[in-house]
Amino acid sequence: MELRAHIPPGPLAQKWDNHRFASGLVSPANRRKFKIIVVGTGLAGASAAATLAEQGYQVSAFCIQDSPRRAHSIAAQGGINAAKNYQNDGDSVLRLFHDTIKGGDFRSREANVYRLAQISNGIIDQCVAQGVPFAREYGGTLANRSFGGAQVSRTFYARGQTGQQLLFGAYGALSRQIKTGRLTMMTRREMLELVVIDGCARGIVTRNLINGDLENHPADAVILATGGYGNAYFLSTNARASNATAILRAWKAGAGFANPCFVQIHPTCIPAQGTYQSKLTLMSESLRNDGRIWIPKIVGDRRDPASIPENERDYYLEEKYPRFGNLVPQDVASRNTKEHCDAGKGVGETGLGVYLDFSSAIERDGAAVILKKYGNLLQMYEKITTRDPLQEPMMIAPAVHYTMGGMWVDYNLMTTIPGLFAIGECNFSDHGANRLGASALMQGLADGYFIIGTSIAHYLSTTPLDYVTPQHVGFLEAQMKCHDRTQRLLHNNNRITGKKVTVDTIHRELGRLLWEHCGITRNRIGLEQALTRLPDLREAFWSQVCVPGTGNELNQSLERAGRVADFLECAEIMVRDALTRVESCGCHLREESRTAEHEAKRDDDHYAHVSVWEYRGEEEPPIMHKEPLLFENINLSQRSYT
Amino acid sequence: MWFVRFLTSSIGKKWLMAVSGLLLLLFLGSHIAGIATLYLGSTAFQSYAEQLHSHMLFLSLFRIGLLLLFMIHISTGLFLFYQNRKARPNPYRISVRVATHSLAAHAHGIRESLPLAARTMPYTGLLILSFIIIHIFGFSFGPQDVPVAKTVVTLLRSPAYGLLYIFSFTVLAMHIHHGIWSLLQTLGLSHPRFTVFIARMTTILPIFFLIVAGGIPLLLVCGVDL
Amino acid sequence: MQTIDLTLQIWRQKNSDAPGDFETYTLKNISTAMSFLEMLDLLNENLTLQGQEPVAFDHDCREGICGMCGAMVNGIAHGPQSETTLCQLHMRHFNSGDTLVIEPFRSRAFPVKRDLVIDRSALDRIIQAGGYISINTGGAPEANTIAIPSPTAELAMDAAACIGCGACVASCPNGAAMLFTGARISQLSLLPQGQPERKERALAMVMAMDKEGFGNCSNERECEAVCPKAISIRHIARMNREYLSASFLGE
Repeated sequence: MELRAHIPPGPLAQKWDNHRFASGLVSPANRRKFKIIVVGTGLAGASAAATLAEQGYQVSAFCIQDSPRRAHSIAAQGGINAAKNYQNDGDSVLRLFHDTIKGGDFRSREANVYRLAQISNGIIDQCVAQGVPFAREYGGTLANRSFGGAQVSRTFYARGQTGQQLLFGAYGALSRQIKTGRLTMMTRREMLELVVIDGCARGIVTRNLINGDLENHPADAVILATGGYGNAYFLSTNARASNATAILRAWKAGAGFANPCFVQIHPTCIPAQGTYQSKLTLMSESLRNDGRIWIPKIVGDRRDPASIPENERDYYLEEKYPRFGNLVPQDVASRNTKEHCDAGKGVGETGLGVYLDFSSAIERDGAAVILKKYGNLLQMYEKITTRDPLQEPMMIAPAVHYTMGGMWVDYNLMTTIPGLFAIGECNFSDHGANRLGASALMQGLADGYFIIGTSIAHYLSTTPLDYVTPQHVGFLEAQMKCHDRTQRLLHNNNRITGKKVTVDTIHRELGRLLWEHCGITRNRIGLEQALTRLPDLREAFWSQVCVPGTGNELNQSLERAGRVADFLECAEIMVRDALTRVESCGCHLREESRTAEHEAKRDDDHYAHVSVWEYRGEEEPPIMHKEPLLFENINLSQRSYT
Repeated sequence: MWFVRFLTSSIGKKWLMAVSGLLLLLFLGSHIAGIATLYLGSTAFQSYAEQLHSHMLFLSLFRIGLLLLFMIHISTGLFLFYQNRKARPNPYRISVRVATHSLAAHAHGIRESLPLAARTMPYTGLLILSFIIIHIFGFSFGPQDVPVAKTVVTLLRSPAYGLLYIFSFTVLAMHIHHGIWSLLQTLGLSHPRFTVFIARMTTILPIFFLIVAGGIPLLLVCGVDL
Repeated sequence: MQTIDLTLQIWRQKNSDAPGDFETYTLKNISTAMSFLEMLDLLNENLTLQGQEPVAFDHDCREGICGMCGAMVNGIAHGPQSETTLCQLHMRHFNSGDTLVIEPFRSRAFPVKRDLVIDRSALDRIIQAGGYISINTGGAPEANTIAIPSPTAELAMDAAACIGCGACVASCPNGAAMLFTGARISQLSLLPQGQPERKERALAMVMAMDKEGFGNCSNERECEAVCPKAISIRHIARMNREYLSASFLGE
């Protein structure tokens, strides 16, 4: 596997300009001759599909839900960053670049991140023009809020529904192209196979989720915008349909999987309330501005929080990190919380939560001020838990939220398979080992609106491609693979193993395993244990899992089974990657790599690289390649919050 | 043709209902004003009726217009009723109405008094139609040789007819209770500032009509001489 | 942990062409902290282990924003709690021994695909008719050149909060999609960016809505009452206004 990042020459600020000038073009009249497939219609997918169709290509977009408007980008609450400097508080492209690189703990590419910062302003312009109702100042100009990891106010927002509104903007653009006929929207389709012909990505095989038909879709280029694989943990803030199938198929077809172990764990979610729980709900991090995190000092203290006296409370973040207190970065907060819960100090019925207490803030500012600041969040919490955070402390717990790892891509966002591109959360490119708040939306839209068009034109103008039909042997083989897999999943029922388990049972077990050993804190022993247990779990899945129904109908059990089968494989790459990265960085702490104060210690001498995993067949373990990361414009510094 | 396209659209049909309803409401207002002359005595009513009948051309045009309005209102209403039923071919096993008070009204602490009114519009409409037919045959096509005031007073004095009259005006009150609000909404006349005012008017106006019109048979049946 | 037992009557239908009917299930030990969809998950786990086919239902984000889930619970779209999607409805709102009748959202424009899964693509087609601002990528002016008064932006945001779940259609006695369509037309007509296409948009979207076979609005406010995002029927009034002025005063 050759990892050529194709970083353009020149000074950092000119790279993108140089690159666009050096890239090939397809003339407007010729664009309609090319067919592009976009898988996924979140912010990245919808914006890419709409933009390419606008430019004149024939685009087919695919989504798993009944409408492109439902992709999980919709759930992003906080906002979207841009270096507009509307607040005149010293922001600039350079500062956004700096913050993003530093926030990512120096594990992302300088050139990519700089481009992202450059493009960020155009995204806001585009979205405003589309009618996204961003919050406004009384004078009618755009309002900003501040967000973690930055000392400037650069986050644009539409109440707590920024992701939804940005998605509706992109969905509108997509809908407009559907009307023109240049864009074909295929809903309720799941990509099951990537078709590679003569070394180039030439199409996909999808399953029509309504009638089970396997469909062949040839194309000249394929763009994956399928999001992250956080659902491997079973419990995450991801939507239930979010899955890793598309990227895993691409991986098996030859695309490199970069930094699979980089998973972001968000500290302020509503804790799981029982074993049946299917999903975790995120509460905006902004709550930590006014809430104080504490746990009872005594292990197993089951008293009502109000009756625990001040001196028996452990405000562990404030004590350990007096400079930052409750506002330490996400990973630090998550890690400390988990350590305490593991030690049995957690609160709530499941012992997985800690208190987030607003009583001091209420005493200081009054309940009205707190309610005004966080009203909708507090209501949401009350709706789910029936508890009023103004009367008693909130309970929070860390939860898997975002995956920084993903398909390895070059500066063009092209994977190691020519003609296969990956955009949005499903690539690895911009967030390093940790993603800053309000940056995911920015990246998805940057990739989709402003970057992929250049890459596609360059690829199509420089690569000779033969015409392929849906009957090409490559498609027939891929379809056969899908068919066999489906049959294998369905016929588990008939196997006499004596024991039947449901898909969710295995998935939960996988989730627990990953959470324990490949979560916030990791160590060699745990990871090795996970690696030995994974094949057993896979075996249990394939021999015992029970999938009712048939393959040629709407069969949600079958859909889920296929996804969990892929999560099981995805988990293995994650664990393998975590094993090789013997450093603490970004979101995770590697126990073998700690400072004298027991804090995370990054190891730039050995791990300033992207780990890229190559699939080598079912029998062989995958191998890792390294793309070294060079930092020419920024000084590598160790984070310190104590 | 833009007008045909407009009238065949869902909003166009609703507009037709609203506009014809509004004009019928205006007619009702003038009609009630006429009836109210009975409170001044039969003589006043008789002279009002004679005044009215002295402008035959005006009256005929008015009647044709009114007939047209009724036809538009009824036929559009029935067509909408038919279309709306078709929009849900498989009915629910259980269907519960939850809009006992609208959110807008709720925000102002006003309960919509009669959610029943909204849901029974086609039926109250048809009841009103049958009443109008009886009414026309009783009054307008009454005996030619008797003064109309006498016909009216005689008919309304009979408890059966008087009760029917009061019942019909109650039904009418219900119909226009929702009708007024609905036509304003259809014409796009909605603003939070006037929500309270509109909510009050939709109750006050029908009740006022009911009192004025229903009072007459009530007085007559109770033996008051008008 | 408190638990309840329920009797569930659920609409089962193999596919669009097959006839459907209600099946009765008893489900025990439902934790009151479960969401409605987790209760269905539990039922499905049991059915799967018993060798029966689980109940198909649409769901995705499970935090009330994607608009994928939805069913009639005892005759009310998204169940008895106001401003709540089915995924955010918790079982503590039910009592042990209750019987719940669970039906798919019904409308001629929403054919049932399987059990509780319906096809809501009609709503997408309404948007495709003009529910957007025609602006090509890269052609946008500097964002702050368009000043929008904060209250206007907030009002537009109220309308834009629609999640497209279809509860308005499902609960409307006439199966009308006026609240859905009105919300989008209203949002874009409020914003300065939406002005150039304002009239054309109102005409095209209403025409698309009528074509899909939705019913007509009779102002009964059921849509507003069940809307999980509390979208006001004021937006229907604004759509009516937009459509009237576009029809009478358009080119």
